[in-house]
Amino acid sequence: MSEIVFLKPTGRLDALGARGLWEELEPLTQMPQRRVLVDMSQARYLSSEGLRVLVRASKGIKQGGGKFVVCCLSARLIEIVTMAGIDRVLEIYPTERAARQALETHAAL
Amino acid sequence: MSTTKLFFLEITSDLANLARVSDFILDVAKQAHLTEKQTDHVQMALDEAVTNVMEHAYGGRRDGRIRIKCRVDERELFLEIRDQGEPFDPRTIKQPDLKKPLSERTIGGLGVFFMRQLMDKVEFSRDAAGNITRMTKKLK
Repeated sequence: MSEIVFLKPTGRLDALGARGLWEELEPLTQMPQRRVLVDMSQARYLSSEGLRVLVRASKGIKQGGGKFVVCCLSARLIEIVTMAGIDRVLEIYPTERAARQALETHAAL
Repeated sequence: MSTTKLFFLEITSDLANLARVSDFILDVAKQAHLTEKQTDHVQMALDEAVTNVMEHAYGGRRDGRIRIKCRVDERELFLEIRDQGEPFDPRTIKQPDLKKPLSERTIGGLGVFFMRQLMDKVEFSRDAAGNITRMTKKLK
């Protein structure tokens, strides 16, 4: 299994920010068995494009046999994610520690 | 006596200007004493509406003109976004980002979905000058 890739987007994940995040995530979707953690604690805003990027990354990385998890969403981001039903699609953990544990478990499988 | 406040912003259709739109609406929200939740909702609805204009009416062009008007009183906040881009019907926007979405229902037209969830009224129309997006949120 690969090392855990840890990404912490800071600021606004509007359409422009979402593009920047996708530039980082897209290569990981092309590689097999990646383990990726996105810490959202410093993301002040999450747009629909930001959500799409997370969903797309999750799907791509899973298809490659890897695991993609997100952690540390603020209450306002959880509201947005839940409103769109994307909490059922993304693997979301309240803390970085819980998210890392989930990735470690994946490696053991 | 009820006071109606008016706010205006004009920008070009560069995604980098979304940050200015955010600053604009946060200033409006502060001056109109919106709650934190109302502020979050109006901020996102406007961001999604302006993003649609930039990406669909102007197709990614950065020099298109976008005018935003906000009218707010004690009862409601009204937003109008005007552009001079190509006609577009946000209800039929296909999201090119996801080839095969995990959930077609929630991913397709997600921006418009959020606008409708977050605001009380959302209308799209067009006149001789271009597209018009209008949204209203009740404050009481």
